[in-house]
Amino acid sequence: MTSESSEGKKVTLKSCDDVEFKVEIPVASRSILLKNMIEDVGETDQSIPLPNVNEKVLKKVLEWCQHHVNDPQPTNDDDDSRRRNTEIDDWDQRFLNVEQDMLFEIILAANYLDIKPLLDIGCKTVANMIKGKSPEEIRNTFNIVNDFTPEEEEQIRKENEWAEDR
Amino acid sequence: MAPFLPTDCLSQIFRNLEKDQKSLYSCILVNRLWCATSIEFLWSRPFHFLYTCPISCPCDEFMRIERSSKLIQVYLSCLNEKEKLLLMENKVRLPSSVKQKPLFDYAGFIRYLDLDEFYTAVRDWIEFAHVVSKEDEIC
Repeated sequence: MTSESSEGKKVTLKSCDDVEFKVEIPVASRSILLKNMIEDVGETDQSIPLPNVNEKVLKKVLEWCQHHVNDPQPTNDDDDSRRRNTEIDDWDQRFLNVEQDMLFEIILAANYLDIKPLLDIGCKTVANMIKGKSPEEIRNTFNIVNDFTPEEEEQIRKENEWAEDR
Repeated sequence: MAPFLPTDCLSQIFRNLEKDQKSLYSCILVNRLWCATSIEFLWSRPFHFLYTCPISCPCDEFMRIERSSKLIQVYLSCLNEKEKLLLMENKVRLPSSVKQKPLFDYAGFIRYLDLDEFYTAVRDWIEFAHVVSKEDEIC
């Protein structure tokens, strides 16, 4: 037990590579997964293992959680309004100005930890990288292999000819 | 190589592009996974895409009619045999291309339907069918 005020209460998170982070509960609670876990378990000295997130990514995600600690918690009703808003604020833009591998790792971690606003801006950032590109340019940007058979590709082109950019 | 994004993350990425026909068309041609995940967004508002070209779009009226016609033909190919028969019994002539089974159930992806745009597309399809009937493509 601790005599600290509720704001000062901390929880320990352990990354998949065994690095522990002591985090204030409101910061960790940006993650709905962790929020529910903390509420279910109550106060504990034991660390919470996060088998899908490594130290580097967890540190980055917690930086985002710390910056956004006072944001209102999103509700399910917010889905549409968040989607309609295509703007990403300056701080978030700078935050996501990282190597592509890290960007994808942040998206994966936000998805796993259930941090919707972070997942959202991560996905918007990738969408912005896709905008206006040809299929080949997209493959090059994301290092994707074209696994269509020529017949499949031909059929997809044919069925979607109405949408072809000419 | 960047880590692999699961389909629910890819879906969320493509949802941000749901009003961007050009980008979605590119996405369906990237690879199988991207195609299977992005196709529903390209087909969520197809009639709207046809009739709301950006100002820079080079398509003329005939091109629009051709596109509408192609779109309607894909929808017709989504019909089952009973439905196709019903149309034929009502003297709707179907082009031979509708016999091929499509890769996806495109009709199930529609989310926004403006009946005026739909009506215009059907009218365009009929008009286009008149043009190609001379080329003996009607069965």
